[in-house]
Amino acid sequence: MLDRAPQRAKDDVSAETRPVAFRGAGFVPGASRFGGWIALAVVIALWQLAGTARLVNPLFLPTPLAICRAIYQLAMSGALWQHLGYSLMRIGIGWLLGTAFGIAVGFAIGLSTLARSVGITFISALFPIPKIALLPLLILWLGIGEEPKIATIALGVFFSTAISVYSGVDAVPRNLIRMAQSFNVPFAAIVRRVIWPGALPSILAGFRITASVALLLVVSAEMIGAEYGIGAFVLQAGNLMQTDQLLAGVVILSLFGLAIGKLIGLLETRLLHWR
Amino acid sequence: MDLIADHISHCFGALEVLDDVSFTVRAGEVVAIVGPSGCGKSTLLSILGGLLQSSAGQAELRGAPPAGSLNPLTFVFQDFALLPWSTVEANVEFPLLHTPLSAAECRAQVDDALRRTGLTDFRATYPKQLSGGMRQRVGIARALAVRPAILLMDEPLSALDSQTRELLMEDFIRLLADGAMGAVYVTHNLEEAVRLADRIVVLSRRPGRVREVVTMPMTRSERGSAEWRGKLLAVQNDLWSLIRNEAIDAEREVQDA
Amino acid sequence: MRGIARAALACVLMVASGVIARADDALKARIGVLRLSSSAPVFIAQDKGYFRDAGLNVELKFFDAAQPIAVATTAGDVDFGITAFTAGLYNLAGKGTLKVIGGMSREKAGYPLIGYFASNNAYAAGLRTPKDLAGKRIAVTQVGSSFHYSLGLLADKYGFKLSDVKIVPLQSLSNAAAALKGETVDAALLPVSTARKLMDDGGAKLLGWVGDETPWQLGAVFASPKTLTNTAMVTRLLAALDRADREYHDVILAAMKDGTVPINEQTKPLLEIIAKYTNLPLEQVVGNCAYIDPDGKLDVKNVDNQIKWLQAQGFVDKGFDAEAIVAKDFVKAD
Repeated sequence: MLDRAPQRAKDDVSAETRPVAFRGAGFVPGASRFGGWIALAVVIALWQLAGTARLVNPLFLPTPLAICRAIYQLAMSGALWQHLGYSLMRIGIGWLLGTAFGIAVGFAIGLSTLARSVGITFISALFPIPKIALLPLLILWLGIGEEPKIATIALGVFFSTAISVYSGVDAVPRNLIRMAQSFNVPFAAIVRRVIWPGALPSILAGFRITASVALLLVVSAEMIGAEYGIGAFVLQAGNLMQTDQLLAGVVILSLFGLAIGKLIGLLETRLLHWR
Repeated sequence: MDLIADHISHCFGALEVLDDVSFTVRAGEVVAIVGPSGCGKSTLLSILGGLLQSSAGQAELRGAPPAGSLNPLTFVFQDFALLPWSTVEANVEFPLLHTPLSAAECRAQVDDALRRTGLTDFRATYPKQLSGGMRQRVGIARALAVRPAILLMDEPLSALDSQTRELLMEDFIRLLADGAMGAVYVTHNLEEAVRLADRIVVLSRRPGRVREVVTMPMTRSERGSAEWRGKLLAVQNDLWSLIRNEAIDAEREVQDA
Repeated sequence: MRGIARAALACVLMVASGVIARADDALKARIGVLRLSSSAPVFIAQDKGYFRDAGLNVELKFFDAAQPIAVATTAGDVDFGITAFTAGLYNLAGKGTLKVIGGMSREKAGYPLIGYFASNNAYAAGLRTPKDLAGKRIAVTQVGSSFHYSLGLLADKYGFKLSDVKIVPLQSLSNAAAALKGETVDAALLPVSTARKLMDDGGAKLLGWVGDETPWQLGAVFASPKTLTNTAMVTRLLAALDRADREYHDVILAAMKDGTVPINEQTKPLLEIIAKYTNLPLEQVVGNCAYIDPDGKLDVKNVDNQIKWLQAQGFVDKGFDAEAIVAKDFVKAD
């Protein structure tokens, strides 16, 4: 048996009480709603000041105002919408194609032994190839129209999607699949009702990555004889050393990235509300 | 319909987990399977339910399933195995979607199952919003919806706290009381076994063999009364003395591994 | 502790003596250059010690594109840059960050450098001379590049509008070559070094050389305004280059026949130097020698024309001319 603690003869009730000191402070960083925006504004203001005060050569770092002016002129001349339209079309089609094939191959790898052994080998071998290195080949195969541009984006998107889909399929809890099997649910229905929704979170996480990949690759894609497109615009500005235009293009691309991120965020809250 | 374990043996690679296990579950009978941890209880249940292929021997059915049974052998899982993206109602409906039932019949079946488990007010909630006990009720409602002949229950209460366990135990006793449904109830909890089962199959430690089949000395309906309390406790103690040494060895083994 | 102090002291002394020694020694200069034979005089001056004779300690920094040389010169990573004029270079110079101090390679009749090439299909369909390029799809590396300008000159010469031509910028020579071989463009402007293999493989047909059609000032020596304050260094560099220019002209260019330099006792030593610095076999160097004025002169009028043309196309900011970017104290005009 446990020993009983020796009882104090008498508790000293007359002594003064004192509060126990609180020592659990800190280590709980809270996210401030405006902190990020304020920091961004401060950085932009400092940047503008440094430019206005001629502390930095505007050629090396154009001021935010110069960039805004470049965007404004681009928008006023109507060229911006033409560039955006072409890039959107290429990104859209390329992304959809890459995603469709990526999901199909990802599911095949996640569900079939044969596809897994073949597919993973091929993906591991082909994924790390920089797509820019393939541009001359793509031009030989597909010419210089829209096809190689879309193919460049689709290729980049395909590999990331295939990988995130099959790891998503792998991550579907086995007990749910066993449960469905124990109710004699047919294979196709298990794929549709258990594996697809189970893999959806990582598929959507993959979308975040592939959307950025598509934006990165639009610049490479528009290396192939593009007259219009944000990527072509950025390339041309770089070639001509028009650094304010260059940064204007970059800002547009990153705004585009932010917009897509928001869109996927909305999609996630809609489709994954159960999490 | 009877479910027969016919000389079932099973190995995972070089690891022998079940050795020549045979017993019969008769129609409407509740059989508990107890044994020290790692003795292959859950493996045995998977083989009985057709989710795992045995290395030797097999699970067999005898006689026709009761009319209207959509899935004669139906599991209730320890971890509930609910679809987290589906509401309670959709989870219960899930196994019915590919059956030949009409939409109206489906709805009736789901409503009935929800009512019997007290989930009618929770049909639109998602699993993550429910407590563990409520989640397992969803698992039971889903099983009831396909009108099983035999419930295969794999430690259905082990993931729950003791008060919830007690409440669900009462539900099980009530659901199985009329003898329309049989059950194989895998547990390491001897009290659950003696309260629920007609017969108790005691497995030895790994590789699991049938050490003894204990037939409960009273019917299930008699067990509620106070005079049988002592008797139940005595059976439970007998079972414990059967298992105790093996449990000690099994625990050592697990810790060595 | 004392050991470290002693080592530190030794270091300080070594650095100090190094600085003193260098002050006595030649002026240190870094030149940004491409590994192309159009910079041949630089290689000759370096290899044969002309820079050293002029009192310069020159370090060559090799780049793989023209644009970065201009940027590096502006940023002060190199003191001098030697490469082709590009729209980007003019944009930097227009902002006052670069000055042209001397001429380098030129497109000139009889000296093949950049050529017009037709795809096999287009050739079969009747694209036979540079004049026929009007209305065709033509690959170039970049808009505002030497190739683009050459095409503009051709359009002026034959009186067609550049807007009638479909310019296809493909960003790299290998992309442009691939497009030509793959029959996705009718023609391309390529340097002879890139086109040689294509022609040998039968992947393209030569229509003519830019030098024969529209001679122009292709390359130059330039420096940042900060470098220009060091008059001694600039004068010495240009003197050494002049010496090399003259030798290159008299030995190599004078011997050239049908666009090829014969390998003989006189030419071989210089050709070997060029081969060494350009990493090319001797046989390729002989057919790939750019014209360079023996006195290092710059065709200022043509430079002005280039600027005006690029400004008209919108590739170069308006508001300056050749006057503004040429360092008159150093440049010998044609």
